[in-house]
Amino acid sequence: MKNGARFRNRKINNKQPLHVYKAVDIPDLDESVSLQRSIPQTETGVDKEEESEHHLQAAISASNLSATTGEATALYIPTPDASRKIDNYRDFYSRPFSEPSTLIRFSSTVEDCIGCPYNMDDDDDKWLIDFNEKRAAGEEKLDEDHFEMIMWQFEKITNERVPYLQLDSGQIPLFEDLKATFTVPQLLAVKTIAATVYPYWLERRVKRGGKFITPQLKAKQFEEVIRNESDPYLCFRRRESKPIRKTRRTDQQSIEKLRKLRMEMESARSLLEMVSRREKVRKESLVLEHMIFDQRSKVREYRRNLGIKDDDDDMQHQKKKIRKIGETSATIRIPLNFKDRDSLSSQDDGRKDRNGMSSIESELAKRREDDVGWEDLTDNPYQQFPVPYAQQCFKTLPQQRNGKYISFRKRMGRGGRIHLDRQFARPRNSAPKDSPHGYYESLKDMFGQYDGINTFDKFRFDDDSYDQDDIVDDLRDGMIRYRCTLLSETDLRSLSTSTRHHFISIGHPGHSQ
Amino acid sequence: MSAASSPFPSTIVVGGTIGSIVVGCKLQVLHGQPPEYRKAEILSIRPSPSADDATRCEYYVHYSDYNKRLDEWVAPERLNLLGEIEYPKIKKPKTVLAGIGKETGKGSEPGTPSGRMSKNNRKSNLSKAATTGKGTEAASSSLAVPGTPGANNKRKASVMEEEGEASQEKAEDTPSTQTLADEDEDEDMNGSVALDAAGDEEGGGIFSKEQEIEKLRTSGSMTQNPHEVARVKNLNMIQIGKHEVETWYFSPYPVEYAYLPVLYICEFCLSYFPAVKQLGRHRHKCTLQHPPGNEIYRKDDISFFEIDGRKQKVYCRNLCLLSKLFLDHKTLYYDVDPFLFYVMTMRDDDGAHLIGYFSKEKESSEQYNVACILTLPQYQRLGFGRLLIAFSYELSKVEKRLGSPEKPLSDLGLLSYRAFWSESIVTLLVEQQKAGIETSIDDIAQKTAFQQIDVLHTLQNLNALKYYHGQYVIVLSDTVIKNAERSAKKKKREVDPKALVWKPIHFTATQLRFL
Repeated sequence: MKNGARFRNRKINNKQPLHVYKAVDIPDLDESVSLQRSIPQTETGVDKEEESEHHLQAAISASNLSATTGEATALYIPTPDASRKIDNYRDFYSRPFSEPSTLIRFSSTVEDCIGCPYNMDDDDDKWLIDFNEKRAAGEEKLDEDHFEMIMWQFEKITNERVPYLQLDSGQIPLFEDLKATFTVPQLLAVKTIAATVYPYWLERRVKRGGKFITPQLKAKQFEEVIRNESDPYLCFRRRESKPIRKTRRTDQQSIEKLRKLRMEMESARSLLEMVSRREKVRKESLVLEHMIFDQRSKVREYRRNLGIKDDDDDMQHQKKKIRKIGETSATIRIPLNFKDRDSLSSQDDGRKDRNGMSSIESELAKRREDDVGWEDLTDNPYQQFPVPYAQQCFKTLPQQRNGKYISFRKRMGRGGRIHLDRQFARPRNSAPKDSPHGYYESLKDMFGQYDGINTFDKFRFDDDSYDQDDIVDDLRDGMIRYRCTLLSETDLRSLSTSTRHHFISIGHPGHSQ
Repeated sequence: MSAASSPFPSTIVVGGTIGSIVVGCKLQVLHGQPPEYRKAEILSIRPSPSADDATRCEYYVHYSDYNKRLDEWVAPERLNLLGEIEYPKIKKPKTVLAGIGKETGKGSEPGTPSGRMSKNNRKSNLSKAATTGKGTEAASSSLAVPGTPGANNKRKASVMEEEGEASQEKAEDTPSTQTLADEDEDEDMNGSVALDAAGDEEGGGIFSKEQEIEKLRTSGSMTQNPHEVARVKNLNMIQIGKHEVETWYFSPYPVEYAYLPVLYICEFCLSYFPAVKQLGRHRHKCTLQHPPGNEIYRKDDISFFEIDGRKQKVYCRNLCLLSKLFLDHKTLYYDVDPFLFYVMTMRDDDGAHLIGYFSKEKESSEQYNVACILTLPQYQRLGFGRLLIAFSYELSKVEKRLGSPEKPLSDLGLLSYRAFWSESIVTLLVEQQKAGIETSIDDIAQKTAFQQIDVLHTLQNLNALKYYHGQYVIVLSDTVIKNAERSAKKKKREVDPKALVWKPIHFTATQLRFL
């Protein structure tokens, strides 16, 4: 142990390959090194208290001695005597045994094999002999087998009816009760004699304090009554159910993974199976095609030989078909458009596709619901012209009190001047003459330099957007006055340019928000 | 077990009278052939069955440092009353109880020193004893059971044992008081459990009852029953088949059969009978001539039968009761359901005779391949134990698992296993050495189905693990090789793997649930 500190005592790696030597092959083995490197002794597995027992230690050291010096001293641990044999074995075991040539398969239980479980003892024997002697000459004698049968019937029925008899011995069934159970033919025969056996049985049972005449193991019976844990005679308790092991999350996860893997493997397998089936069919079709071709060329030859010049109608028809087959049986094509997908779905994947269709349908229905109250213009063949970029920079302000829509844009001019460009959008259904400050009025104001209202009106519906090239005199009094009313304080604050593109929507101003 | 380990110093007196000998005394007892004195402890005292003199007693002694199987009833002449007598330390002289076990009582029914006593109970009994004080004294003097057997704590300082002792010395005047006491116990079950825990702390106890039972419930089958009554074997001799076998340890055969001179056992169904007449009647009816199971191996006259504890409850219980007579650490606390039994038989014209068996858990949480293993004493030292062990490993090989016997092993078990392990491993290593193959502990384990720890254990016992040129190597000494050669030459029964027709049974969770 002095050198023990120099090397860590560590276990041998179980996987480490070890070379096997004979001692004579390595004479240079240094035992002291081995001692230094010794591995901690494993436990013997014998109870600690018994490990030190004299005979065991003697036997162990004897075997160690034989391992080191070769002394063959077989030392046995002394045990009590077991060498005596009985002389009258044949009295008990006389049934000859012939072993079947095949391995024995046997499932009957001991209860099935031992006949009547009641075995008469010396007291019974004495009583029975006495009983038979006392019987009159003409009366039937009771043999041992029937005696046991009767006794067992009493015992069995009593135990079934009053299992806790030993706690209250007043409940012993009367013979009248027991007699009723003698229903089996063998028992019916001894029913009358049983009446004379009953008092004897009763006496024995009472003497036993109500317990079985044949002592029983302190096992399952009366388990509920006797809960004395340390009674050494109490044995073979029923084991409570084992604690259910909690399935850990990791277990569940790995199960999930394995399940998924299995599913994938399965689908891959079925795919491959289908591919192979298809290829087989294709091969078949090629063979058939080949055959048809052969036949046809034969037909052609005959015709040529016989000089028949019919229309080759049937031939052409065939050709068409062939081409069709050729088309479909080309390489695997991944369907690209709806048409293909539909055709595919009708074949094998119908269910899945139907799902897809229904989801599309529901999506459409949802949209239709959303669009209630709106006019759907997407079906309209009319398309707006693309809005020029400069036009896109306009922002629309919320609807004004007078029902006008105003758009504006900010623009950086020369020398850092900031321009504010405005636009007016006109509500679609506003009646111009109704309002005093109608839209037309203001327009007339604004575009006063035009020839007249008519000129303006003429262009009114031709143009989608107001032309930027319109010449507007900003500094006209009316314009300035008007401008002052345009923006509130908050509007001004929110004035800023952004890269977002705003579409001016003349057609349906409601969407502009 | 020695006085040195006892927390309470004992009183040593030189010389004494037979009347002063009480349970717990340690003195020299004549033992063995040729007879010599050996220190022994008195575990129990009973009136001598053959003597005319009512005061003459027999003494059940345990020889120190000998296995319990050598414990025996001795006549007073064998006690050395002139030498040193070590008396148990009287911790509580108050607990003077009427020292009448049933066996010392009426003698009509052999003893049922059953039941346990909590401390409360002891008090109640104390008062009982006090009220019947006169009779108690008379009894104790006449039966030479002095009134100081109280709670000595020589052995493990556990409340269990203390209670056990107390219960052994409990008064059992009449059957009626017996039942009364039982009822008392039922009532204070809860209280006594709490006492157990407390007692552990104060006594520095080695285990608690709950732990013990929990261990029994969750794991295997072998744990010592520490009960005091169980320290005294309750049967002397069994007659099984043509053999008369002295028993070794306590076994919970029905208490009515305790202390019978001979218990008769049918060698095929293992039913037990107190009298020859009953055995005869039983044999008249019993049709069994081999163990009630499926034969899974047959080679020459040796067969193995596989028996499911759940299906063959009676047989397996009988088998367990029988084997408990020879296995100290076996417990029959729980039923046989969770085990499979592999019964080895030898065939002749009368039938397939039971030689030995091993039991195996249907589902072992600790990779045990054997729970209990026994060769009946009349067949011991004939190589059958080795055959059983070899067979258990053959099963493990089929299962493709490594196995090990459940612990603790008995002394005989350890020797048998060691012999088998080293023989198998040396045979394997000699082959490897000749072929010049390196081998790891894992390799050996895989080839033999021994667990790695057992392989290592064996290599250490063979003194074969050496450190050479900077690495561990296995070195077979000449004697080891010679021993192996010698034993290989011996004609022995071997297990033939080809004769095994067996598939491991897999039990579903539901089948294993209510075990």
